[in-house]
Amino acid sequence: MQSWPTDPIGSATLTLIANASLAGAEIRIYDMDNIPTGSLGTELAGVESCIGATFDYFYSYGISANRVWLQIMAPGFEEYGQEYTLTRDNTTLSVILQAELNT
Amino acid sequence: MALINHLNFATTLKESTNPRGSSPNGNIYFDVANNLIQLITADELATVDLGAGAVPNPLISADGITMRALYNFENARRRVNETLRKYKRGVKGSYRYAGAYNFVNGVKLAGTDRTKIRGSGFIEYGAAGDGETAIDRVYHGVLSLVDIQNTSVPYWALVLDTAEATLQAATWTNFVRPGDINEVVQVMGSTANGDAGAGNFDYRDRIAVVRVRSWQYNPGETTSVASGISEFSGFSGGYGVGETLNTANTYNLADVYGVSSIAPWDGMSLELKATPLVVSGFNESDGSFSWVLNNTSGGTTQQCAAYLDALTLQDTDIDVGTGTYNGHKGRIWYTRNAAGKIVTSSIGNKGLVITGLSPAETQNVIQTDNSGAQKTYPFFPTCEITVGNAAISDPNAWYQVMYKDGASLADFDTSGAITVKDSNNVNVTGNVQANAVGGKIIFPYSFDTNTQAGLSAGVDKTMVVLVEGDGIAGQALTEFTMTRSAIVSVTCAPPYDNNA
Repeated sequence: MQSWPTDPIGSATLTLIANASLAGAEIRIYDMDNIPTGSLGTELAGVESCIGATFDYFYSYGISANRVWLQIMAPGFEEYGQEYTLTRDNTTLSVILQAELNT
Repeated sequence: MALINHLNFATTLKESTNPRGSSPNGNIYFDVANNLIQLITADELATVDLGAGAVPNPLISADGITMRALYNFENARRRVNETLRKYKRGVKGSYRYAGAYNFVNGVKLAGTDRTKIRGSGFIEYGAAGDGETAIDRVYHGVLSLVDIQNTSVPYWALVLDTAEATLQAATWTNFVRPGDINEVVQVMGSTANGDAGAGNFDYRDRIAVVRVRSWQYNPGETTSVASGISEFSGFSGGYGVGETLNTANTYNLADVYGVSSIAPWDGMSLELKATPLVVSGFNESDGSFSWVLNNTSGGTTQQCAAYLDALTLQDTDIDVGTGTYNGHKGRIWYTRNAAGKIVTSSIGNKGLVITGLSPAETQNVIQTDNSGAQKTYPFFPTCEITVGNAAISDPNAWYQVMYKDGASLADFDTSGAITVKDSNNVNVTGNVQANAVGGKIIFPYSFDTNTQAGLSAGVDKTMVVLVEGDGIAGQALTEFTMTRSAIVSVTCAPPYDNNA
């Protein structure tokens, strides 16, 4: 895991919402720490099947911002991936899932 | 096996844990370390265990795999393979109905695996930015819609225009797979994003010319423009190109062209004249021709056509003149009309004339001159009069052909009767023994131009033939109609004269 510049100095929650319910979606959050090389990095959180319509990621933060990769694999939608910089505030991120039309 | 597509991928593909060359155990390997996807085909991995023991590897180079299958397979593997999903995905859909998919995030197919893709086109994006913006390469899928024999090798070029000079100068490339075309062609490449092998060109606005030519088959050719494609991208398009059996060409190629060619082809050559050859003798006005097929041994029209067929296969200079003209890159020299006649081609104000044809054979060709005007020959029916053994054996036997019903006083059995002239303007009359060939008096008739006896040209005419002996043969008279037929057969055979 990427080490923080100092010990965590606080915590916050990132709430993921989408243009469709996330219930049943597989959601992963990676650390972008390049471990293993070339990958999205260490998995920080995730669920095989999201229970609710939204997904909350609770995290601790340090002085420097941390970049993560958000991955959502929802049935009926294209795989969603986005690089995101975590903030010190509770945040709600709204993502647009593209309907899967090419399988 | 068969093409692997979105319907059968789940039962034909298996993710390998090792790359090719290192004991692979599946036919698809996601090489995440090098951002590559390997399509490990049966020629590399004979068998694969799809869950019920080893079976022949269903992924075969010739049959290939669609991008849609690969996309679905990657989705399926990322759903269950948590190691794989730690890396950005490689395939993304664009529009499945056009076979349009993309390789994103810098992921690509390994090397020649691109030639295994069927029914698809794709764009390869570099890893920079969002992985879907910086284009490394664009591959357009070409799909033939007409049968091509599985031994024929179609070929293609990307050109700015289809002028003959442009096609001569173009780089032509064979499709990797022989037979029906279903393969991608690279139409754009850029090394700007780090893809060193991509090349630097952008032909997305060019015209694709797709051809197939093989011996004893009618050639096929079309273009992207003719197929309704004005700009290339990562999709697949149907091309109305293929080949059909040429039943008129029954010859051996080695007899027709090359160092071992035989008569009449050894007397043929094709020449681009510096000064067009002016040819007369047509129904129409004289024609000027830049291309001349020299037919010095009197080959038939079909034999000449076979020679022209052979020329289209030659990836060498076929012009015996001072210039250079590559047959493989060049034009199709003729077509056939609905009546089966050979119609020579005229492209870029350069028409083709076939010389050395017999009068009868000229009826089988339409020569197209430099202006594109089609030139036809007057029709010369060959009249064959069988005279019988008595007349043949009589050294004094004679024959004469006359018009039965001429205008005014030109009727047979009158003092004004008119003797028919042949196409060489010679009266059809003479000694049987002197002129008979194979028991027949044979003469060509200028059907389209003869106006003797006050009769119009180009219409059926009733004629009378007399064959009479003097000493051995008796006398015979036969009426017949000269028609616009290749052969007009008549029998006028006097019996032996038992009263002389």
